[in-house]
Amino acid sequence: MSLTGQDLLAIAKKHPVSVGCALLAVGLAVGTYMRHAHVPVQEQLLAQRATEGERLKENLRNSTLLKEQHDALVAANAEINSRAVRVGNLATNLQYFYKIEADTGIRLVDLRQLTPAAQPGGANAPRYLRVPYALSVQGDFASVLTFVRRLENGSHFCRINSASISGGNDVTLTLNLELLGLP
Amino acid sequence: MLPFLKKNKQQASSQPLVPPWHPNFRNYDRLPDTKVVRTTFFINGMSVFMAIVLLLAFVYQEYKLKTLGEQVVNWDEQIEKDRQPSAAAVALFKQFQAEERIINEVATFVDGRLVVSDFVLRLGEILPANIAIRGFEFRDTGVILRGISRGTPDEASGYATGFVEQLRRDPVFTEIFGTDVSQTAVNRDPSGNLNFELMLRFKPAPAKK
Repeated sequence: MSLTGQDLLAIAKKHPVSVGCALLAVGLAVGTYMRHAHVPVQEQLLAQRATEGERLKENLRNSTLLKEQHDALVAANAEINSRAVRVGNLATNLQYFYKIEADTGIRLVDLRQLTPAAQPGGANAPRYLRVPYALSVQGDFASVLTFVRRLENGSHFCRINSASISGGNDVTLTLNLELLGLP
Repeated sequence: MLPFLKKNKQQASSQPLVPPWHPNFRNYDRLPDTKVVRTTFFINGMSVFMAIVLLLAFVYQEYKLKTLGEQVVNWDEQIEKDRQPSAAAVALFKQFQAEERIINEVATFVDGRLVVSDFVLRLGEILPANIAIRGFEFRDTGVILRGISRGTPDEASGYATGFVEQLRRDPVFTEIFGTDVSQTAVNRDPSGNLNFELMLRFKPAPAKK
């Protein structure tokens, strides 16, 4: 036995509420099912946007004082730059030591500017060179010590790599040091 | 004697032979539902309930989608607003990093383990009366200190050993060398003084995090 259209119509007329609700429920179920797939897509999209938005916000939050800090670094680097020796200015560089010699009263027995080591190239190449010097000075202990302090706290950045001191009243100090330099 | 329950013949012959009957013409489909609560009520109730549940689920899902959509739109607006300043900040930060790298380069250069003049001055401060320093060598691994200890053989040896202990305990030197101070050479010169050589090794650099 099969239901004909008239039978269905008769059932619908007999139970209008039930049939109406059933049709509505079927429509809603289909609609819910069809739209259901959009939820995870929207959630994923929202998560992406939120991540991106938070990243941008974090960038802005972290950059609050960045301009001032950057300016401070630029100023510091300009100062450092002015205190670096130029490898090619040999006479000027040696004059630096002669001036300290004259000020402290010691005697420079030996002074040589050596060839700086080759620097690695590329994007991360160091900006500054380490310009090596070998020198020997003689003088009384206090003067020699003053000479060393002047070098360590002088206008050029100095790094003493090795030092040996010997002697009695007049001491001899041999130094191997580097000054921060630019090509 | 006959049993009491036995029918007599007259009574049995007076009863009809065929049982009484009547036709049933009732049409149950057309008859009203006489149950206390009609079946239609349950069917309708269940249908309405199902429809309401599905309607609520649908509305909730649509509300959720709408909320998500609004949030996405809000984030899009925020992102669009922040994109330009953020890109500028990132570009500035790259410049900052470049400048910082140069500063670090210089900091590494000047960050020597030992300030020679400070070392010599500190040595002069703690030097015992019977010990004289003849020289020192400052190397990558540490400092070689050469000195002379005056006194009788046993006294001079004691002074030298005491000086080593003093160097090991000195708060300034322990910062640089730890307690790694060793006598590398000891010999007596013709005048009777004790020449000694000490090795003060730098503490290993702390591991970078």
